[in-house]
Amino acid sequence: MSALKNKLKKEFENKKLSGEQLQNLQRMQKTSLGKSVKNIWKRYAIALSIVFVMTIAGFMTINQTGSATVVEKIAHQVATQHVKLKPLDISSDKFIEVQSYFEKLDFRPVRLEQIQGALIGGRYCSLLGEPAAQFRYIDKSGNEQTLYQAEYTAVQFNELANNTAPETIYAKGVPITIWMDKGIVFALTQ
Amino acid sequence: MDEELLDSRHAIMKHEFSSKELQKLFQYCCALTLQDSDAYDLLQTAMEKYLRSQSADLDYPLSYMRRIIRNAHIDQLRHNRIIQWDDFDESNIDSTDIGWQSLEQMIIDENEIENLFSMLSGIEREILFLWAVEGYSVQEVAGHVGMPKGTILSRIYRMRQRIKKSHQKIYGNGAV
Repeated sequence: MSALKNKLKKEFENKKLSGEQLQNLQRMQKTSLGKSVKNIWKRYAIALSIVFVMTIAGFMTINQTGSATVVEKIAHQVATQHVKLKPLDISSDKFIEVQSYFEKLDFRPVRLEQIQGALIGGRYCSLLGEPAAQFRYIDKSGNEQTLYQAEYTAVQFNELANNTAPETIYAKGVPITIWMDKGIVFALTQ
Repeated sequence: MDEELLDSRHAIMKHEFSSKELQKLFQYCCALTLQDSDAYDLLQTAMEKYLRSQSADLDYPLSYMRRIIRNAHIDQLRHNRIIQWDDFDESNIDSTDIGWQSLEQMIIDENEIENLFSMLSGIEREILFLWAVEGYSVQEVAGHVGMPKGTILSRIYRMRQRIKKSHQKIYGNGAV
């Protein structure tokens, strides 16, 4: 005769898994946990590869942007400003008045005879960091047209030095004509 | 994050049970099922669930695994429709005659143990296992099996009554 607790303990502890059963359970654990470890490394490798590819793609995109021509850069900036027009600094349909307003510029903006729209005013702005005059017109259809004039600098507009012929380029769906004439860089939205 | 990655992320942190721990879990399964072969099946089923599960109690893997085993066992019983949730009228209990103390005092014959196991239910054998092998308090057993402490006490009382009756049958009224 012995105490119930001791007897029960002894009885339960006599229950043993056979060697085969034990091995089977250990194998289950090793297979599953080992597979998971392999999987996680595999996943990390894939994730790293994706990050690597995206980094390379990112650098390529940056390089492409960096290698954009001056004309493309101007077009992009003009289109951005044209799409979100800011209020005019001066409202006037008289070119002389608007021209006089831009007295702070180091150049004198010029009148372009080929523009068909009616002048409504202007505001100070910039082209590739250079101070510029923005003239705003309204054509017969009621569409606003903007004309930018900035002083030519070799630092910003070097590529336009020998490019006096107007070049039309699309940016953000807006056709923009860019040219350089007599030391002034022009950008005109259509 | 897909399921496999989530699974593997948790799995890598899972505890791998040692031989000693597996033996202990098997003993727990034996307490629930009575038959060694059923106990092994139960442990295998629970192990599969443990390895598949996407979360694990990393601090107490043995307790976590025991909960899985217990739930798997109940699922099996429910599936086989042999589970019995018997109610017990606690008002009949003599409060001085309940708790581990009442069992501690019992003396049992070497040959009686098998008979004892066969007359107890799975939950009763589980309670005895947690008491005798794991050294759980009544409160801890209640927490593990998800039952109120009073229910555990009543089961202990009833077990004692039954063991006592069986004992008297063999050794007469003078036996404990």
